[in-house]
Amino acid sequence: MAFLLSPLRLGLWKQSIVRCADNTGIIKACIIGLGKNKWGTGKIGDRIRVSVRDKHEWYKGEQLPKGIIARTRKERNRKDGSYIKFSENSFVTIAKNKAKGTKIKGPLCYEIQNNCKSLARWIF
Amino acid sequence: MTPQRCRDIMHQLHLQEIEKMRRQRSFPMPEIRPGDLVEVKYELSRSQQTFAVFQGFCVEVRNKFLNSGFVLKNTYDGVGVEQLVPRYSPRVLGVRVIQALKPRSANVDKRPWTRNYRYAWHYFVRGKYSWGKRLRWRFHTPQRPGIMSLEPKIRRELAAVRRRYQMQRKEARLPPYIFPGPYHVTRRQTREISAERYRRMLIYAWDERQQREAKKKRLADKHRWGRFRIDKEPKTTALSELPSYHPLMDNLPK
Repeated sequence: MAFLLSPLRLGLWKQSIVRCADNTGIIKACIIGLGKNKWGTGKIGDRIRVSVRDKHEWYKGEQLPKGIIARTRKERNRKDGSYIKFSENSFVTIAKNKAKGTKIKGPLCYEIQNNCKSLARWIF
Repeated sequence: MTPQRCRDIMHQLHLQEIEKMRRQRSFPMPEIRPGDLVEVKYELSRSQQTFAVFQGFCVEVRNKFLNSGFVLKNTYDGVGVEQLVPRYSPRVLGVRVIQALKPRSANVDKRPWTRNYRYAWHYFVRGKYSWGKRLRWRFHTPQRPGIMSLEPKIRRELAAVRRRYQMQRKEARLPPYIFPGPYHVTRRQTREISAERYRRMLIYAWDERQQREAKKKRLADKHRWGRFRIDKEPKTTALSELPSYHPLMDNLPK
């Protein structure tokens, strides 16, 4: 029970519903795989495989795209002792390590080491 | 080396570190209180020389010696961002208070309105009569030592606003407005929301029935022998009779 209540479980997991932050036409998606995640939960900057749960009609892409977690409600600790957290969980679709969309809604975090960072308007 | 001695040494080291950081930084650190609009410039990467400027309202102040900091909150593109800025961090390049909640003038008479000692009395302190040492916040006490957060107060005020709105609706004899909230897959809808949905279903069904009857009547009139005047449109429907302030008015069915 103590493990269930511990803060280790408070990040993003499989089956978490995330919002899409770019203009590919996906609205919401469900995480079905966390890559490179040996320990803990999905944090900002982690690669994920998602299943599209809600999309616009004009979305003609794959049903199971890859993505990168852009924002989480769980705070992300930085090495200088500060943290940053957002009010929603969202991801950005990527293919071949490049962002699929051309625009990104909302602010991004500095920890994302991907070229999708250059599309964002605000980087904190 | 007793644990007390260890603690004292660590405390001294922390104080030295604080002094060092204070001497190092090139800007005067303003006094930040919850509710102020603060602009912070900090470096993201030292190797690439990138900076970010974050502007937000201070919702929490943590006064814990070396670990002091303040939490800023703002929204960008409808996404809320909350950030903790450490007070003694070499990565912070500038802090500026843009708008303060209270005007900070130097010579304000701090003495209370009354000189009566009855209001200076308080329990559980060594000197029982004093003017200065009382807790200044009225609505809540800090949850953790050194941390003063504005969030419980904001939450309470929001609840009060919603309660007042419900009372106003009740006074105007409107049905209680229920915000169904974002659609959630796993959580069941509450009983009030189901009731609201059921009420809407009844209204729509009643309207549908009226329209069908009108249509049937029109057809019958059309085929009646010797009658040539047809009134094509039904006069009123349930939706046209709804008053403008009714909660159904903003999402009418097509």
